[in-house]
Amino acid sequence: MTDAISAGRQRQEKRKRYRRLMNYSLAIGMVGLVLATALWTVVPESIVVFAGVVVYWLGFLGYVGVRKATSTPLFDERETEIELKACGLTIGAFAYVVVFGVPAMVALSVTGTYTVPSPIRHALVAYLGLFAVFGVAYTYVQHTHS
Amino acid sequence: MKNDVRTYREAENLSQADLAATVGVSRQTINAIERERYDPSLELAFKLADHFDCRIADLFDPEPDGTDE
Repeated sequence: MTDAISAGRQRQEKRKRYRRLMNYSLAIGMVGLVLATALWTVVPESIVVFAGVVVYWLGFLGYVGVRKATSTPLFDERETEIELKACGLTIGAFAYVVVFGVPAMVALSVTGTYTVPSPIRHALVAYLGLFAVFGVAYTYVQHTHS
Repeated sequence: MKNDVRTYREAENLSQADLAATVGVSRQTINAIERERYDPSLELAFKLADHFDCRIADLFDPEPDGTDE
């Protein structure tokens, strides 16, 4: 019994260590980008901002790399379910925006009642694209689970 | 889902963290199960039943009102 608990605790410590590493990697990337952007206002050289972007990319790759490379499960089933539910709520919220927003935008534009500002129009089109991706992903997952 | 995980755990004098370490989930997950805020997967239910050397039906009661037929 004690051995099982001890082994389990070691696994949990390992998981914590890896998750900390992932979070640090992501944080370093984001802070690097912010610092580079701030530095650019003092030293207006393009290379400064590009370096910040590279640091950000590396931070993100570090996050994904650790998550993909380790065989240690970093999230348990409840945490995975929380993530899935949060994704579902997010896509649901955007569904309302698309369902109500796109037809209204089309109707307003066609009738000439109101010209929807370009950034909003582009955002709605991007949301439509998001749902196209969702449809492809859903079909793929459905196919692999049937 | 109603369950007796806490009763079984306390009978073995285990902390939530100990049980979590044994079945490979976080302490928060065990806490959520005991508070009936999270229903475990079949795999985790089997692990818990295996750990306590009982049947899944001894640990979990699927009836909403907690009564069997």
